[in-house]
Amino acid sequence: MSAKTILAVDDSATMREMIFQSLSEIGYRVVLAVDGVDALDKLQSEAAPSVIITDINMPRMNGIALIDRLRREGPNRTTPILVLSTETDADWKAQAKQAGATGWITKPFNPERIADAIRKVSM
Amino acid sequence: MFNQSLPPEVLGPIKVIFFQECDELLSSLESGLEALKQGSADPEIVNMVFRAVHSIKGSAANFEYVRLARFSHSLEAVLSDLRAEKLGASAALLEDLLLASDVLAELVEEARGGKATDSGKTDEVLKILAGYIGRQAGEAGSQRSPQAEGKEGGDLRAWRIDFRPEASLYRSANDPLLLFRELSRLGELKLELDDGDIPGLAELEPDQAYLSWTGLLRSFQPEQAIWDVFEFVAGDCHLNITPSMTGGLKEPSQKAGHAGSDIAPSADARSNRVIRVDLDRVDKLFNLVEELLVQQTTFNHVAGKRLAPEVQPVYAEFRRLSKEIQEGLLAIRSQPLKPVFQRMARLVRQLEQATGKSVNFAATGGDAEVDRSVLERLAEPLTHLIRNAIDHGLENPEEREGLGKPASGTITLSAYQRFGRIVLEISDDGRGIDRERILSTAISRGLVGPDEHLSGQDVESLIFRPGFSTAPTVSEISGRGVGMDVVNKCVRALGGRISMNSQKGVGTTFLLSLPLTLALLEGIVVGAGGGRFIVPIASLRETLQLRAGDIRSIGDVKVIRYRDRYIPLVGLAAILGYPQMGGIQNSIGIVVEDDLGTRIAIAVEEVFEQQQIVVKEIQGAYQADHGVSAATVLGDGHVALILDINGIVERQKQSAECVRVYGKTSDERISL
Repeated sequence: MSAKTILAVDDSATMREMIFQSLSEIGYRVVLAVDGVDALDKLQSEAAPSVIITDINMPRMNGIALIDRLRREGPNRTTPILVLSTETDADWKAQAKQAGATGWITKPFNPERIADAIRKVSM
Repeated sequence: MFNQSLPPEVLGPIKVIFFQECDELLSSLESGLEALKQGSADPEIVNMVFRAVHSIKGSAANFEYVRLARFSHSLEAVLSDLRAEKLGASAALLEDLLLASDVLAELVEEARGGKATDSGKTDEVLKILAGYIGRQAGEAGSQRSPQAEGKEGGDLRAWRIDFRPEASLYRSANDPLLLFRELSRLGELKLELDDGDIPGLAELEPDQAYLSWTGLLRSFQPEQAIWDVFEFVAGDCHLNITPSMTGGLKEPSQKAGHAGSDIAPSADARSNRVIRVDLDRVDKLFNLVEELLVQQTTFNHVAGKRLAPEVQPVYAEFRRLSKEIQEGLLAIRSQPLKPVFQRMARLVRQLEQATGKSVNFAATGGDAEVDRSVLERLAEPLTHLIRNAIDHGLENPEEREGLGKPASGTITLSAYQRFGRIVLEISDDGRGIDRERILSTAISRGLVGPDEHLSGQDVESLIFRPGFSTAPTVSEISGRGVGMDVVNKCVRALGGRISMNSQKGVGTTFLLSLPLTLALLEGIVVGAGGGRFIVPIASLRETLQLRAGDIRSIGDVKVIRYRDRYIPLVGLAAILGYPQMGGIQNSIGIVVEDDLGTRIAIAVEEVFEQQQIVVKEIQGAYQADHGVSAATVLGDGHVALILDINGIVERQKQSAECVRVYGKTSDERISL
């Protein structure tokens, strides 16, 4: 079986690097995108990911808008999407859920929790 | 994985906490296993043992201590089966678990940056553990992974789970199947699907939810772990989780009101009453209180007698409180001996293996508390003594049986407080110490003259002398150079004394008497050569007013008569290289005794009061050759040096002139 692909969307290079390092290490293939627009591009060109992990606050297209877009149409309607965010207000969770997020991971970054969450939402 | 995501400055302190915790967990692991070995069937002990390993595993994985994590994972798997009663607590299993706990302790040391472990041994024990996991029925063992087990640790309980997803659950790409997979990681899951709500094809809406499930979960996990599975779908389903009393499952073993916590109630209550404090903070506070006491003594010195009568009771109260604060802080620094005792138990097991000798080890008094400064330095002398006892003291099983002794030797370690000191007794029922052999060895090493007459006790004390070792061959266990002189040195460095009592063929007992703390010392202040010095009370025998007629000379050595013997008299100023004020005549003789019982008299010019002093270590090498061990600050603000009586006596004994005195004073009186 080939490695599961994870699409990670974050505007912070550090976060992208940390996600990349920690998920690659445990055997995932990681595709990175810098924001929602970039993510949509990558989804066009790359193999369908098993899970999408996205930040909320991003330029051009934020995480909520990305989820909303993916859930409305196309092949990723049923792709699990995990929201990774530092937002502390309860509001973002509700918004993300409303838009169709599958689950969430709250920063600070804890690689183990990301791995756990991926396991929880994907086959 | 934690490692990559956290900077070292964040990680460092977390690791410190981790290792502290490891020490505690290893202790409870070991005492738990010992209790099980003694036949305890308390399920809480099994749980405690399991939790200890589980916690170590969890944290070790975070910090990428791969070997430690891997090993603790295997050990945990076996303990998990023991807890689930898939494995019986056989004597053989417990032996193997104790062995594994030793390896675990070594791996923790390795992770801490200590000695690398013997990977051959680790692998061997891993193989033994794997054997146990392989033995059980079914395939549950092969599916284990650290993550699969999550935060286990409670009792086995059964839960009924009623779950009806709403359409929004499916819309957010959640999947009941995945939730069930998560649930089955927590334990054993039985599911029943209710599809009675599915309408006819004509009415069926593909976006709607029609199915519901009833699950029965048997799990060691706390209830929260079950709710956590549904974390992402909390608003997208009807969910009910209730304890199940039926279903043919083992009844929950806990008392009502204890809601599935993974910690026993008593342990819980206790942990709430314990706080972890960085030792540096305590030490800093302790130093401040020391300063306070010095200032207070100074105050007393300067103004104590001039205080107005109405102020005096207030001042007395102030002094009393300062003293209590000091004592309270000492109590905070105090720790029970138990961890050291447990370390010794581990050592005994390792030595049993290495020597092929069988040893019953019993330790009592582990609850006695000593200052951590003492505790930290206790392990070394105890290790030497126990190694010696097993290596040299105990006979081989065959030899023992031949002598009519039980094949297993017995070593006991006990501790108790006496006269404000802690006394440790290490006894074995081995071959005892052969005085003839000690004497002949000492003579062959030139430690005593061939025609010297020594009492039995004097002969025994020879083994504490440097350069003495009776082991005919150097065994792997005692190691080269680990003689009793090393033990003696350790004990003396702690301000303690060691003595030995041995009967040939019956056994040997070592007695260590140590101060409860190294931070405080009772001493008398003396003056010599214009300086002030402290003579520790523990070494002091008597003070004598010297008169010219009391002092005799043997060659160049001055001696005085003390209790029907002659002992050397040396001027303190001379010892320390201070100017001698006046002659040694008309001075005061302080009779002191070193840890071996050798007495000398030290001539000083003045003797002041006895007081409790706060020991301040002297930095650098000054003390080494100068008969001084540490310093203190006196009430009047002067610094006083604390005399190292052992060192002073040792030097006097070694000086050529004194040999003549000591050679004869032991049993014979010198006739002058």
